[in-house]
Amino acid sequence: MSPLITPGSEFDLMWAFIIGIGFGFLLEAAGFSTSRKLVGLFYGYDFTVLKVFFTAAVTAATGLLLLNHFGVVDFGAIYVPTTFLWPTLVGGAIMGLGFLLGGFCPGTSVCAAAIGKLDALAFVGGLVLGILFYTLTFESIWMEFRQTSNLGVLLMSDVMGVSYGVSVLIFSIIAIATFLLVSKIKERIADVEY
Amino acid sequence: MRVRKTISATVLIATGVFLAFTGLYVPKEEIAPEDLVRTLERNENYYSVDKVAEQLISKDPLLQLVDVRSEEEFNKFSLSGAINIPLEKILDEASGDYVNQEIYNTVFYSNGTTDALVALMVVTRKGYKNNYVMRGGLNEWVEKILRPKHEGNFDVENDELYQFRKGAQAFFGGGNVAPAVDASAPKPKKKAVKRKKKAVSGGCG
Repeated sequence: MSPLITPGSEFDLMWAFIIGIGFGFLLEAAGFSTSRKLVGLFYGYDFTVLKVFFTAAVTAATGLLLLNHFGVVDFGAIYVPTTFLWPTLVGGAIMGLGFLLGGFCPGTSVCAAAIGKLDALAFVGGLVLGILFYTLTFESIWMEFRQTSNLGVLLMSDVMGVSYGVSVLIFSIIAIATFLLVSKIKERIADVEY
Repeated sequence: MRVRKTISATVLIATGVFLAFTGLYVPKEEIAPEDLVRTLERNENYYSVDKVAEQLISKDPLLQLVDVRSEEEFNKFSLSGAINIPLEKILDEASGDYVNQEIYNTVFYSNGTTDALVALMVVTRKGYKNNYVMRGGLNEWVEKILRPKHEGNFDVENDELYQFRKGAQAFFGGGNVAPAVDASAPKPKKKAVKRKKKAVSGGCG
């Protein structure tokens, strides 16, 4: 049955546009166009980001396995990117630093810029400069590095040596435990106005 | 609120336990025939001889040429830098580094288009990506790159194409046979990524 949308057609960009609008709308609805809410997780006064993304991951993982169980989704048709350990860590550190300094990640910055937030507009400007820097220095700095420490297609289930189902169960338990923990922390700290 | 959270958590754990004890559904068919035809018809699966020539001249590091003809034919004439994987060996384990990887653009070629297209069809059916066909094969290579003629009207576009082909002709030695790569020579040091399992993935925007 899947995929509902066949990639590689001339409608790809149209689907991307429609899905992007939906994604942006939900980000905004979840309050992700506010940089203070986003960095609240780092400073420990707002855990919305953690809850939303944990929920999204658990929903997607459980949903995909259920759809696969009923023969709707073929796992062979799902693309999983290769894990390049060090490039991922360096990229993660750069993105994390940018996230912390600017208060947005790339998706939320565009979302906030769309509703006219000036800090988000500045962030998007920085984003474009960053892309330009990466492009101009790609051959001299990044090209070789991005292919190093290739671990192949790596999944948590492979690392733990368990089946997909068991890894999703473990992940769900971790998610529930984390939700309970952050709820307890939230009860002990004062509300922050923003 | 508390009741709702408890119900959500219980449903999530129950679903997780159910999934933990059930196996994966694997469809028997690798790729539907109509999907295969659609894939093979796509223009982006083809490299023109001009594009191959351009990438060879610019020493594009991502280009990997694979000659799918016999070893004998390959030794007589081949494109520079190409490796030889005869059609019948395309699914051999040793060929996997070239046809089943995610980094390089592997372009199959034969004398015409047919054998290279068969190679593409076989690897596409296996689900391998990043494989292409040089349209027209070596026949078109000789006709357009090694012995170029001005085609069509004398407008700027055709003129530029002709000039490019004349330059390429000079670069590739104008009809001379390019030194073949010994099929038994050690493989290039390119590190190919073998695709293992594919499964669930996600990411933040």
